[in-house]
Order: sequence, then C-alpha cells, then structure tokens
Amino acid sequence: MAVNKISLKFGWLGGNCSDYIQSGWSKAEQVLRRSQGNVSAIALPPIGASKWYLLTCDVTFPKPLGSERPELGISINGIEIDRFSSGSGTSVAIIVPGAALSAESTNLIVFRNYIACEPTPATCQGSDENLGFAWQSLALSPIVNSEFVKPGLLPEQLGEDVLAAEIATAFQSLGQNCECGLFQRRCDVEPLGLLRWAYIKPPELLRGLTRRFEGISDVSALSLRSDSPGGHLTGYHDVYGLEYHTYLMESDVDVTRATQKESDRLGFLARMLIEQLEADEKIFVRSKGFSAMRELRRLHLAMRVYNPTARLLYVDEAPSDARELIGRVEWLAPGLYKGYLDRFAPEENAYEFSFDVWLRICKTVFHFDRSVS
Amino acid sequence: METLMDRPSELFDEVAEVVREVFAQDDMILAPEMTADDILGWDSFKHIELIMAVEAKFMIKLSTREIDRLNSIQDLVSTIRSKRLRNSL
Repeated sequence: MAVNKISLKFGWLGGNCSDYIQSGWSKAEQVLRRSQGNVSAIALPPIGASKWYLLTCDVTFPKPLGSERPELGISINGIEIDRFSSGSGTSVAIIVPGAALSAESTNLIVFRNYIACEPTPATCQGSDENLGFAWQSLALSPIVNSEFVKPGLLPEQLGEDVLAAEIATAFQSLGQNCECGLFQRRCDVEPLGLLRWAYIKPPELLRGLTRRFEGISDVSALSLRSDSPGGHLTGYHDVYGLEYHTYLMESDVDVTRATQKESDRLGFLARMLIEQLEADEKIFVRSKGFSAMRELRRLHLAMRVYNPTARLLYVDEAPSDARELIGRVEWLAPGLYKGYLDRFAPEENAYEFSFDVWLRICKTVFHFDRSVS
Repeated sequence: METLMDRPSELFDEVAEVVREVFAQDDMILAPEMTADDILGWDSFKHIELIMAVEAKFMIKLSTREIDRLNSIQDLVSTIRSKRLRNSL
C-alpha cells in the first residue's frame, strides 16, 4: 500500500532504516550510518500521488581531500534529481516531482559519492571500504500549496498606513548580521529571537532547521570569548556555528556561570523559533549568504517542513546594473520574497544601516502578505 | 478547597518573589501595573530569564504568543493564572 510520507533515522539509537537500506552502507553507529563506497541505495515503499515532494536529508559531507570537494548525487528510479557539493557539514532539501515516484512499486533512491571518501574512522573498524557521507535522517513528504510562479515585483503602497512598530513586529531574523534586529530596534520593538543578533552560515542554518536545533542548549558546545581581557563576550556554538553578541562584559561576570545561563537561553530561544515556524507567526528574514536561487529555495523548503505556508524574505543589495530595484520586493514563489537594499551597513558599524529602505521593503512585504493571507 | 488559582493576590506574591530572585533584589517593591520600563535592568535578556524562571516555578510552558503579549507584571500573573486553569481542566 502506498504511503503519504516517510521518515528514516539511520543510527541504532531510535533508527528505523534497516528495512529500507540496500547496498553501500556501513554498520549503524549511535545516531548515524555512513555511505560506503561510491553508490548507496535505499528502497522506499510506494508513495501516494502528490504533484511535488520535499526530500530532506540530514547528511554530513566528508572533509575535502586536497582540492577535490565531495559531491553527492541523488537519483530516484533512475532519474538524476540533483547534485550537491559542500565543504563539510550540510543538510540537503530538494524538490522532487511526484512523477519521479511510483505509487505502485518500490522507489529506489541512489546516492552517488563522486569523490574519494575519507579514511575509515575508528568507530567502523572492520570496514574494508572507504566511507563517505554520514547520514542521520532522511524524510520525503508532499509539498502543500506549491505553485511555481513566475517571479515579479510586488506593488508598493498596498493598504493603509501602519505604524512602523507593527510592521517590524511581523518579522523575525534568521541571522547573518544584526541589521534586521537594529531595524526593529529603530522601530521601537524588541522581539526575542535566537538569531536576531547572531551570525550563522547557510549550511549551519539549514542544519539547525533540519535538526530543530536539537542539543543547542548543551553547555559543552558553547564557549564565551572576548577579544580583549575583560571585554565584550561573544558566544560561539560549535555544533550550529552560531556567533553572537552576549552583551556581557567578561569583567562583570563569572564566565562559567554565564556560559550555563547562555546555553539555557539558547535552548529557550530555539524553542521559540520552532514554535514561530510551526505556527507561521512571523515572516522570517535572511540577508546575504544565499547566492543561488536553488539554495534560497532549499532554505524556504526547510522552513516549510515546519509549516507549509512559512514565509521568507531574503534581503540583498541591488545589483550595480539594476539600481532601480532599490527598495523593491520580488515575489519569487508563494511565501518567498526578495528585497533589494541600496547597501548593507559597513562591517565596522552595523548601526549605519539603510533604515528607510529596510522599512520600505518590510512595509511592501507586510501589506502584500496581509492581502494574500 | 481554595487553591492558588482562586486567589490572584497570592499568585501575585509568588510571581513577585520570582521577579525579585531574577533581579537579585530582595527589597524590590512591585505593583501589578509595573512594566519593564519601571524596573531598572529589565531588558530582553532579563525578560527571557524571568520567563524561564516563571516556567520552572509554576511548571508551565508559555507559547510565543503569550510571551509576546506580556507587558506588565499583571499580564504575567494573568497569563500564569489562565494557563494553570486550563491545565487543571
């Protein structure tokens, strides 16, 4: 019988993949299983009909060997769907056309490791083949409300005048720098947010979303460090690559106690972020870091795992040959917007951000979002 | 039997105790209508600490919407009260 969606975990701790994996896999470790050799296969049961599916994989790429970057290819029932390349540590989210899946027979997913693998780790002694990607989970689920539309600019001046504070409250930052948070502060609102004052790279953001930031409050993953003795402490999270302002001075606090407190705070804020994603309470904002549309769509899809109507505004600088886009917003897909700034704030002073353009962009998205929801 | 949920003033006292602990001020005088603007040092960091302390003390979990609506001590008391009432049903 066809299933509607499927979710696999690869480790022996709570794992359920042994009925599905075929050739090319190592023995299960606690929370993962590694692909072995150059081809690893999974046989999934028949999948019910839907126009589009989302395939998400929590998979860590091996470290590059010399100049060669590991590449992961994915094909379904003999059709090559996508190919990924990464330095190390990423999550994968791709759209799979329903036509590529079978509702009547087994679906064979093949993962191809194009580049030589890293040496066998001690945890898998006895393997005589090289190991590749470390897999934690894989999920395939239907995408709701997915219409792929032609991008277009959103109209401005939609709706009545609304207080800047109300507009700013509707948004939540997904990291990169503090401009979105400072924009909200200038609008007199101080929403709580895990990533409001944090820098996080795209792969780590995807990893966090895929893993629901599980284990973020583990104190051993966090360190607080200052540039100068007694100075401002910055938080560094090893697992999710967060780098954020603590607004604490090393000279004022006991760093060990502060680290514990900060870990608890991260756990609390991650819970809030997940709730906001699940309830689709906010329009999430990300600036920089996602150069290709495909990567941006992956982020949006990772959000839509939480809620099929999750909304994302990506903010970038208007290209030099299209300055007319400054302050405008493109509608890329349902719930996915791109806003164009005249400039980002200088790195040495985030307070010099382009407030008026930020407000114009957020106002446009706010009104448009209201008009369609 | 009368319970804490039926006596808002007692609940206020308990919340006030948590606030004093979080701000480490035993002699802090609190009133229901007080907001973050009235209490020195009540910034977004302290706000999180306070919510976490309230959740631990009253064994409840506040949703993001409930947290967003908290503007005063009275809001906090009312939210805890309604949350506990709902949990007891």
